[in-house]
Amino acid sequence: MSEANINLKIGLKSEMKRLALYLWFSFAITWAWFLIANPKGTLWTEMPDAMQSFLALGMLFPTISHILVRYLTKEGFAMTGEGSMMLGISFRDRKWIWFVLAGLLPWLVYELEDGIRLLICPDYFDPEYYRTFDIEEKMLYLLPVNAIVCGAIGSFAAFGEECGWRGYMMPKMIRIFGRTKAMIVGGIVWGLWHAPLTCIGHNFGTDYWGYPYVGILKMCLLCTLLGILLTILTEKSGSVWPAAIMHAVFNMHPGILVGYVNSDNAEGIRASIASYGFFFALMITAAAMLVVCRKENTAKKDMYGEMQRKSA
Amino acid sequence: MGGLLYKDFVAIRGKKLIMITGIALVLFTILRVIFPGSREIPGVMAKNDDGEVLNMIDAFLWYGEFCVLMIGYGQVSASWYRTSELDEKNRVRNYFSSLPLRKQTYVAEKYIFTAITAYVWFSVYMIWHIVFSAFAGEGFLLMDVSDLLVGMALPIFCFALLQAALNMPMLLLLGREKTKLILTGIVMTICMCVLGFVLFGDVGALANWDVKAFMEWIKTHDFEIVLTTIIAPLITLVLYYLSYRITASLWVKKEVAADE
Repeated sequence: MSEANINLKIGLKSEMKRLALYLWFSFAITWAWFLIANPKGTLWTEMPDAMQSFLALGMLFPTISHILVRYLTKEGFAMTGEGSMMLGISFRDRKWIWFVLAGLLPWLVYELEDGIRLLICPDYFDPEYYRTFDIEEKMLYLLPVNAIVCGAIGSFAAFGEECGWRGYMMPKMIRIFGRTKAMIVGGIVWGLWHAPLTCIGHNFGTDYWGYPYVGILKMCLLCTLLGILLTILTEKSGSVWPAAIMHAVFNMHPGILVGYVNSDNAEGIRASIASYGFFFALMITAAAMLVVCRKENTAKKDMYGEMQRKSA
Repeated sequence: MGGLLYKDFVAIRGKKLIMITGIALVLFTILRVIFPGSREIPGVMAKNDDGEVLNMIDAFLWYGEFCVLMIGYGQVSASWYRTSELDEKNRVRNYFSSLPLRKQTYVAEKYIFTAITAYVWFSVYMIWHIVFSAFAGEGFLLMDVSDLLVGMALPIFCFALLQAALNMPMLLLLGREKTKLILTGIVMTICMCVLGFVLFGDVGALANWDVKAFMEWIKTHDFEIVLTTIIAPLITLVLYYLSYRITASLWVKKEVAADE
């Protein structure tokens, strides 16, 4: 075995150790938080809004774990470059496009979701549905822009997750498993991390077949698809900020069509299929992003790609 | 750029500040969990003439939230003032002019550093508010005011950035002493105006200000409020960027003095 191969093996081994340590911290601290903050296991829908926000502060722990692991393993706290925390922001080489896309993609996904749902099940259309939100119709057109602006400004919670998952876990996974496997494994890990929340009915509620196991599986799929978009944004921009902005805007559910789609309007097989509109929309967007980026990758080097080639 | 940012981070004793804020946040969270507003402790419950009960722990901790907002606002101002002052004192600008750096990088760093400080303190305030309101007692009398404060947090930080956008050009182009004189002049003028209003104006309008009616107005004017929420930060950012461009273009033409 050549010296380069031995060095590579040792390098990968230490990367695996760091990754394992990060995952241990991230899962242990966050799950402990969910347990302490909600010891009685109160369901998400039965909680007051303020308590939901308090529980959601668990989103900050991946970043805390990231910092802890860097401190313990003496990896350093570089802001930019290879092996860094990826906190720098650069708009050069048309990187600003990824920042704009971070704000607009969630809007596109949500509109696509509602479009798909209406296509599959036209009975869902309800021109007066927005009234149930207790808002005027003109307000509907303002909500997506509000979600983008407020999401970007108040992105600290989403940053708490992204700095950990995209800023630490994904670069390590890509180096160890390769890009495709890393996106799948990373998505599953991220989905499992949400398990305590899924168990109390966050995202999918509690009224579905196979609760909560099917919910956890659905969350893993959702996180894998969303993770593809977030990872692409991070590797293209070389920064975790677009991912943080996109995640924050996603959590604010931007959309206009949502005010006209009433899922209580129909039942049956078509309605059941239509309820998976969000997954279809995410699949289409993720596939489109992968195709666009594959074309770009052949012409351009990207940060993760460069790391992958070096490790190969 | 990274090096310059780190220099300012050290100048405002960033590590110490982060440690203190982090510890304060953790302590506050623990304190809040131990003493939630819903817990009735004999001796700390106050009752007004209408028979409404107020948990004084809630009221006490609410002042803490208000203080965090004010400290955050102060820190944003300190970030541009203190760092520029130290640069001038230590003749850092003269040293930078000898380095292979673009001249506008120095100005850009000051603006970015202030914006980062605003983002960080806004986030700290929001976390503080989430922790506070999660354990507020049911029907807490100051909750409306607390919610109003959260709504005002973004405009307050926008104002802090606008203030920075107005003051930084003065501080960088005119120097510390002249800026101090101008700022003192502005503050004195405002104080004199307020004093004049209190002495000779119609103070009754302020005394009879109906907070409840104002809260009702907020509830019935969603559209205007959301529109303002969107427009205010956007306008602030545009003005902030314009201020940077103007300052940078003037800074490039300016000769750095030997004692700067």
